[in-house]
Amino acid sequence: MRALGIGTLAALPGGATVVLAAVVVPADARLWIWVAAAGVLAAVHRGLRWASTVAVVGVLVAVTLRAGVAGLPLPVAAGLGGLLLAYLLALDLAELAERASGSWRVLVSGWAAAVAVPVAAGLSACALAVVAAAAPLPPSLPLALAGSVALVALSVLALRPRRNTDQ
Amino acid sequence: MTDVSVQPRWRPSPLAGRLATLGTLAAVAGLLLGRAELVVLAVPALAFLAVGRRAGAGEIGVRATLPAERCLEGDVLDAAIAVDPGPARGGVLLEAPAPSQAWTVAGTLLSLGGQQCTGVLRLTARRWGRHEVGPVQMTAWGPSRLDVATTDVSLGRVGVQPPVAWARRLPIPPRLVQRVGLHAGRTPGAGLEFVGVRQYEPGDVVRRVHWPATARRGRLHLTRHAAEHAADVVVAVDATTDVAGTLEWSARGAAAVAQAYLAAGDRVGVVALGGLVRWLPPGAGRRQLYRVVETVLDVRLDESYVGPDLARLPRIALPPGALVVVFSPLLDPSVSEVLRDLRERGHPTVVVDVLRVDPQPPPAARAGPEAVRLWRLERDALRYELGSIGVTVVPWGDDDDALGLIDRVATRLHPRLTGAVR
Repeated sequence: MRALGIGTLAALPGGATVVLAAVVVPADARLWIWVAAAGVLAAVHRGLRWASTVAVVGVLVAVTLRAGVAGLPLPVAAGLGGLLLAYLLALDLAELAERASGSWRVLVSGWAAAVAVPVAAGLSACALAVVAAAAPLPPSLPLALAGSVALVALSVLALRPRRNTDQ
Repeated sequence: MTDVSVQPRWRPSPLAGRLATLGTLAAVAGLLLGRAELVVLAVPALAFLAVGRRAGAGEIGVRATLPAERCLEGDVLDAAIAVDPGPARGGVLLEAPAPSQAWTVAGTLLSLGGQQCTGVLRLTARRWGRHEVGPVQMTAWGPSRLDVATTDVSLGRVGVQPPVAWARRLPIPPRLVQRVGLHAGRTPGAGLEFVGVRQYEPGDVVRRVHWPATARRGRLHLTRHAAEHAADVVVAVDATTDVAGTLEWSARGAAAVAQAYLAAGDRVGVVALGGLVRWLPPGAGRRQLYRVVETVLDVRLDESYVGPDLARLPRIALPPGALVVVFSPLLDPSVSEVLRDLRERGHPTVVVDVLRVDPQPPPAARAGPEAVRLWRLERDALRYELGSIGVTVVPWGDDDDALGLIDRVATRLHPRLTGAVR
């Protein structure tokens, strides 16, 4: 029962992703939304976590169909990227919480400390995408790629562990 | 205390796999369609993978402190565990694997953030024997949880002994050793067993005056008691055959019988009947109990072309007149020869037949039931033959535990071989 509760909590970002994707995709691509929803639902169970990949693929196919037909607003794409990242991280935390016993506070804080830096990098990338969408220049593939690469490079440089210079 | 250093074999974690799937599919779709939005969708996952730190080299240290090196079946041990995560900064989790036959492990231990942590795992010994403790399953994650390593860690080695057996009645050999024990012997002495009355002689202890006889006969008479001695018992385990767990039953029964005799102050030794000569000379006391159990735990199936031979045993391992209790399925003819040899040497011998199942013929065999009947007749003939040379054969029934077995052995023996433990 505890495992099911943890799995349900972890499925919340996945559900939000599916809802957001369902809002933007065309009607003839709804089948993939149902596939994604089924994947999220199945991944609630501890033994069916692999179904999260089905959920991810379902969302991606639906969104790709929409992007190929009418394009996708960049804030929506960035939001979907952030939500999918949150979903996968929530699954990781759920797997740890199901197996470990002890204080939730210690568990979550320790886990968050481990993933904080990469998550910050990922969210920064989302923010950059939103900023790029607000810019007067039309978004283009080279611009997005260059922005992403620059962001990653800056993140690596900024978050690299510093040497102790006191000695 | 057990120190274990584990060199983790890192592999991508499920989180890394899912992120790579998401990032790769979205980026490829974006590049193929020429849509920047899909690449943007992939950026968080790719950024996580790019920025996330990978696990470095190093070892994970696990220190286990067990409260005892020996315990009884069913005992609970609290193992104190200290974990030094080393390169596993994303977490180290110690947890119980699937329940094993030997141990049940309760509790988990989690170290997060690269900090050393301590905790307790509760272990319950389920089956006697000399077992590795655990093993517990250790899962370690790299700094950003993108790498994972899984391995089994043994927390040491503990000898699990069978439960203590206290028997009310034990078979006693006619010849007792000149050592103080609990069994009344045939010679008079300073025991408690009443054997008769005799006339007073100068130097006798006045406390033993038998007043009724003195009053009747008008002269002082004294009470005579039997001297109480210990018995020498040798437990033999047939290690030539192991059919349907007979070796397991043999070892379990041998340990129980040894415990019962040692509790009565007798001397107990062990002989393993196999290609290798293993023996433990008879001894008494609590320490001998540990030695006996250790020896019995060491008995393994000997697949040897050399049959068991008592001539290879030293005299100290098989003292004259010792009661020999043999646990055997009686399937190897060489064991029958050993039993004859024992009787020729004058040892009172008891065989506990540990074969509790009949052979199962193939379903399609036409003469299967007849073959099983013939086999049973052969077994009966063998028991009759052993009985004719003075060997008592006691089958180990389905409902027998070790105590019931000892009681039945005592019941089946000749009255002179049975005695009560006070």
